[in-house]
Amino acid sequence: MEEGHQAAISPLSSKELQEDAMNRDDVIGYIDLYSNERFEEAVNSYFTEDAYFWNTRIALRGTQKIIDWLIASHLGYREKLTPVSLIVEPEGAAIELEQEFHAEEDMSHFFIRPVKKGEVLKTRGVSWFLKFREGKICSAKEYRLLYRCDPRLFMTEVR
Amino acid sequence: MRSETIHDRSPVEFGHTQARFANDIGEVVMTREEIKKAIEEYLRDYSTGDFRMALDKHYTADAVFENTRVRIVGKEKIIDWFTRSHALGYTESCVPVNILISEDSLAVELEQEFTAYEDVPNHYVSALRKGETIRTSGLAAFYKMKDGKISSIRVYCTLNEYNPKVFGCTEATEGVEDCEQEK
Repeated sequence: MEEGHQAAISPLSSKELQEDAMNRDDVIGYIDLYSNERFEEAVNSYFTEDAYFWNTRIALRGTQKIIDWLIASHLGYREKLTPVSLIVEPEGAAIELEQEFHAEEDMSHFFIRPVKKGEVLKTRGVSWFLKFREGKICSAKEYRLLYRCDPRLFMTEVR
Repeated sequence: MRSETIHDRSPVEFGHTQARFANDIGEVVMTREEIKKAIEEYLRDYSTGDFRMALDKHYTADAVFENTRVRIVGKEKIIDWFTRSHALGYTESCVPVNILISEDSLAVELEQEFTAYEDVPNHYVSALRKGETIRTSGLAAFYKMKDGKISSIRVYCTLNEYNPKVFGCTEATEGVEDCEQEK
């Protein structure tokens, strides 16, 4: 019983775990791909297939759903992320991010506030908590500093 | 007061419970376990509702607090705001469920429990009836440490667990920086 319990917690040796763990460069690599709108590559490279993805608007499970949502939710604008605070541990990471949104068209229902084509919005109002498993992200949860956004535009797309 | 920069002298060890942090002259300031213990103790003290005690013990005098409603500079003003915002008829308990630690900062995901001792129709999560208890896992905070105390607090939330009708800047008052929409 005890052996089985231990095996379930740590099937890999500490050396294997170390080699297999996500590190700071991996986290930044994911953010870079995300910022370049390479969502499919970002998610397939860095997320487990059954990854859980939760932000202020939706909760999803599975890489394909995450990719589909990221692509669909970025129509009409580009988003560039810059980490301003990053803590990476073997089991997970926490990141505070600056967001820069470039509107490519008028968006009256943009989730921060209505924007005009060509307009650029910046905010430091978002953070991510990531959990790792087998060297990939198995859970990504996003939190916000709400007052930097328009609360009326939230809660419109909860799935 | 001597200013100390806490930083990790042993990146290889970092992430393990034995990692230690040291100042520029090599003096050990806080271990990872000490930082974890300090934040857990702070959250326990915060949950007592005695904000004077909790903040005197755990915050620097010039601490900056920022959440979804306000940005406040200075421990005394933070104590005032905590006291006023919790005088609406409920108690709050915060329990850390995930703690990540670096050399001078830490990030925490929190579970909150609110219990109303009178009706609280304008509670920021949802309206509460006397005796009602609600729980949420929709809160996270980033802390920076200075001289073994908390010098910066940024509190984030997952909005879809909250009541958007009661968000806004209604509680920002004199001495508290008003909330601003991102320009």
